[in-house]
Amino acid sequence: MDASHRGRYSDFDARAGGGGGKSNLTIEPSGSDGHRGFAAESRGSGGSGGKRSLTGSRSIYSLDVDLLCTIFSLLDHFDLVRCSVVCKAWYHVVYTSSLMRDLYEKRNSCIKLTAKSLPLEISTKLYLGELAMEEHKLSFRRASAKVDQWNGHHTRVNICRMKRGVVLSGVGDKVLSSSEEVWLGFGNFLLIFFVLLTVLRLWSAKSCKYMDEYIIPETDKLVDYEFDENKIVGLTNSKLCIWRRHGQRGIFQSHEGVFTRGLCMSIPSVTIASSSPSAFAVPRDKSWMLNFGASAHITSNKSIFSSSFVPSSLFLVRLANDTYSSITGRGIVGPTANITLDIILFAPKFSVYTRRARLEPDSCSSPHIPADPNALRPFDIDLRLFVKVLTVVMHTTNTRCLTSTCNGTCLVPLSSYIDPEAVIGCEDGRVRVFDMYSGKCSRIFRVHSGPVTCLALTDDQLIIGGSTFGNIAVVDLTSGERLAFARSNYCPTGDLPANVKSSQIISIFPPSDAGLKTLSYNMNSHLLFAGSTSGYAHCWDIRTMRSVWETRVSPNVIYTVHHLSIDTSTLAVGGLDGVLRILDQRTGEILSSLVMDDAAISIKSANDNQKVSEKKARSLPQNACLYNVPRSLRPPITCLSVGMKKIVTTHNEKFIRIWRFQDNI
Amino acid sequence: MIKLVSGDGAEFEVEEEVAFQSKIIKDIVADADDVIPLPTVSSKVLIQVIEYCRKHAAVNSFPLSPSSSAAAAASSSSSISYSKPVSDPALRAWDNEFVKLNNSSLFDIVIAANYLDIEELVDLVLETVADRIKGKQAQEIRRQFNIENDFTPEEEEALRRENSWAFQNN
Repeated sequence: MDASHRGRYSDFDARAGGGGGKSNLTIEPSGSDGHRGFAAESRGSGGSGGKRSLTGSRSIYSLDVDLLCTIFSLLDHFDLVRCSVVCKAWYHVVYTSSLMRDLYEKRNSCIKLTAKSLPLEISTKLYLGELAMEEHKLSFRRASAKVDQWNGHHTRVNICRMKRGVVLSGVGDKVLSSSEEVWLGFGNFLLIFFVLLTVLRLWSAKSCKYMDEYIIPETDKLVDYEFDENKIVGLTNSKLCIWRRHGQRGIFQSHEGVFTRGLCMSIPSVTIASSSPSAFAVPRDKSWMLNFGASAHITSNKSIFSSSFVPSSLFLVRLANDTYSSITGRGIVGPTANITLDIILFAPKFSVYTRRARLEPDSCSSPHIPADPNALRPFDIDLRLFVKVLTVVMHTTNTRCLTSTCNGTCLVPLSSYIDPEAVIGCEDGRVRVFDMYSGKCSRIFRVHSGPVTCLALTDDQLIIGGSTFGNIAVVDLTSGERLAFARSNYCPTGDLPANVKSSQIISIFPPSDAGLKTLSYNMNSHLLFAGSTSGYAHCWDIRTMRSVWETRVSPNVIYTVHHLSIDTSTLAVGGLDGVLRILDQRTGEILSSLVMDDAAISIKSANDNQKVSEKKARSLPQNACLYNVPRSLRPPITCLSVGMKKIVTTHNEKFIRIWRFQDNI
Repeated sequence: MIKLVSGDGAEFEVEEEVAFQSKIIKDIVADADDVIPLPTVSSKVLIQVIEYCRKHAAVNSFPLSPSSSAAAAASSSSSISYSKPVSDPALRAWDNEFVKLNNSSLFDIVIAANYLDIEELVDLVLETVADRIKGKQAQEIRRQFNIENDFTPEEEEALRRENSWAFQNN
């Protein structure tokens, strides 16, 4: 006890022992049972850590689980999930403590834990996700939003993507000019260069701050792009570009010489049939396997691990037969003399019969892209040979799983980066599948008789293509077999007599009026959403190929529909009329319609030369007449991307908008 | 007066109503002598706890209701309940000043308060700790509480990806 305390608390009659071992410490209270019980208990609880704790400076580790649970119970689900990645001990408290579960249920009596039959860890994760989605849905329904708007580019922007709180904006093919003007002062002369540069810019969704930019080096136009935590993949009209987001910067352009040392491996097909532990996934039609070190593999055969096995008890993996297996370790496997696979996960319950496993927590280290840019030689995929490219989707978020089984060994590439492909929809009704690293067109499928205007990929390797005739076709990505076909009843049946033939309908509504412009697939509910030229929003159930609903939400063309990947309740729709609409995914009912007010509430500066103006969104009444809303308040929405309680939009203008939906407060 | 003896041997004489903020002490004192050894509580922490109890005893000079203390005695984890909000704004302000301490002092206090079963103090400190977690990214939480990250980068990334909705405020 230090002197200052003694002075301050002199009225406590403090006679500090000063570590001298006064008799006070060892007093054995001679009292009743109750007293003795207390003394014994106090010694018991202090016994293990008592000496240490008296020296002070406790860490958060000294709190017992009950106290930690109480702290966690004061947090919302966002904080809670962030806490679960702080350390393993916290992870286990958050997800596997039954006390935590009781607390959730007490706090959120309105939403029940649905999946009680699942393991506690899984059901708790699902539950927290449900809570978040409920909040997301309510904020969208409430339709009270603030809009941050800033000028992101020197030219008009018309594509945006948002993931994990990061916005990527860029100029797509639909815009005539993608040039950026570069002004250079040169002596007394002002030289004006018009340099065709396509720039992708990365922004923080929270602060709207500029984070980074990625330049396509040649005079290419960008067709489409996609990104994830590690890389950005852009498709221009002549090549695929892959940028790494972290670490050493380097642009990787597709070229033929990619199969160089360390990047590709050739495995004779004999190996697959052998009884050695070298059996792993190789597509039947390929005699080589790419392993970029970006993916993990899974096996149930512990004996194939070399000495490097590291036990780890973190992951639970959902297998294709809907059972769960824990990953109890990881290690290195050397299937052949020349090949070493780095991250092999060991799942004891993984069965050789589990084909096409769907694995939820996929590992994702960054894809292995050569660090030395000089080692790369550009290679042009000659897309110009094809008819006009209309749309592209890429495997960046899907889990692509190939399995091959042999004698109890089964290795499944876990992550999305193995065998990365870009699927391109073309004007001739075909889709072309490109291997992103070799830059080669591996497959061509005929999907429609008309142009393929929009594409979606499902998590079980299906391509869904939409056409200008308002049809959708489902094609197997591997075999190219057309599995199903559906057409939209773009014409409301109630308006037409029953004896009108379909040919007449087409004459009333020319095909171009029914064309699908955009698709969005919900992997949880298996629903496919589409927007059409005539202003209809469509919904199909992909399992039954039946139309679930069709609603005319807008008088004009719909350019974009999107939803949060795990959300099964709300769908954001944007189009030429510039109204941001939120639909109910199940019924197609319009929940809210928003435009932005012109007057800025405030202007803040995110950076030195970046001004962000905050404006308010106005909710339009259900049957409001759009003509009363000036066009200037509703620039066309060319693209939108939904994040948690927010939507980012581009308008074919220089600015980017983020709509932040507010909670009930 | 009740005499409390800290783990390092310091003795503190406090009034009954101050000491009775602790339900445990209240239960013991009912049938024992008035010297209570608290071997796991250091004098530095005990001083802070007494300071808190003194203030609160003065403000809400009502003894704790027997029912709540019985309920607390029945359940081993006394702290799992929501605190009734401290209604007096002056006391609330005093509480807010009181918890302006570094983390390890807070943990010392909450462990002592939990041990002594001073429910309001436990709740106050835990709320403070929770406030220091709220709105922070995992890395900031680790720095704040000096927690070592024992996930491998792949494991952490997998968890983040799995719950990507919670990691949107970069």
